[in-house]
Amino acid sequence: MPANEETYTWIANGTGTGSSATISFTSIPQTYTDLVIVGSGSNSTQQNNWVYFNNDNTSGRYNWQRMTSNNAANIGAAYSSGTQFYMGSLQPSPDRGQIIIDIMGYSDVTYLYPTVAIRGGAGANGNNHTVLAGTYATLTAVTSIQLFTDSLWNTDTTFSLFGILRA
Amino acid sequence: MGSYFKIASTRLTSNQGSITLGSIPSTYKHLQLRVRARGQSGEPGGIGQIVVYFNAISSGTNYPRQTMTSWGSTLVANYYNNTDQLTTMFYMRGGGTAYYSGAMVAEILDYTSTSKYKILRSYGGIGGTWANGAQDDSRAGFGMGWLATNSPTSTVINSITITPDQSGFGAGTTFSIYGIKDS
Repeated sequence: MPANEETYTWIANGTGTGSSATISFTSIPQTYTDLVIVGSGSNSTQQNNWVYFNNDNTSGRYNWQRMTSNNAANIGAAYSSGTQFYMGSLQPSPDRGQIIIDIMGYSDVTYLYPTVAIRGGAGANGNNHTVLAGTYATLTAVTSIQLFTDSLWNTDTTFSLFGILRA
Repeated sequence: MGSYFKIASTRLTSNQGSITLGSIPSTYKHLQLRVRARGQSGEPGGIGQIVVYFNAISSGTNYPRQTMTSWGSTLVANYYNNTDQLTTMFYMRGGGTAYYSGAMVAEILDYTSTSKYKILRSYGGIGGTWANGAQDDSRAGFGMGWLATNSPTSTVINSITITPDQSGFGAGTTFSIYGIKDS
């Protein structure tokens, strides 16, 4: 790909409905190197939020390490090999939070599993603000993304999906 | 008119010791690095670190840095005063942990400024396996470091080198630089 050309291309938006726990991106084009999801929003109740790929909740497929803070004195770290990646907790509206997900190598599984780095959470006291690094441990391209909450996505929630090409 | 541009990238198809992306144009406001990396094949599993150099400056006491890192249930903060490298990100070795790599994103703000230190801020890590114990296999965190000597305020960043702290990078390792415009 030529250098000094514009990239970071908007692909799609996903919005909360107030009645669903899942916001999905489907039919993701396989023409980029990385994906970035930038989101802002809230949950119907203060709850944790997750992301998984390809409607795949296979146990042990999502290996991740996170560090988390949720008030002045509570910091922590955890490793998991589970069914989805963690992306922090959010508050009910109007206390919205932000989530940014970098997905690398989502379409190129020749040598490596897809990998993620996530920053997410809300500033309100008691929310988990997290930084996570993870591996989707399968040589399978990511063609759809499911953003899941343990409550419901409020209507003030929007996630935007972007594609990045390497030079 | 957009604001985020491809500058240069490398994707390895075999083992290599280090990667340098040079001739970075001075026409952008900020740089972003995006790195996926694994150790070269034949290495044991576990964690290795990525070392970053600006303008091939790889000796002396040029790079103070601060990191906040987690592995397993452990959180650690470290400061390193004036080291000879920026070691602020992580990657997974090959061998018994094939297919795993680190995922890191870093920004260098005002990389052409002649009045500011050149700071690299990174986040990411590696979600590894539990096979060798989490302390060997997984990391998540932030890092920040800067070029503190060698005429730091007047040094324009024109090349960036990444190298593993041991052995080499393996196939699939990808290192990309992007430019961000402000006008």
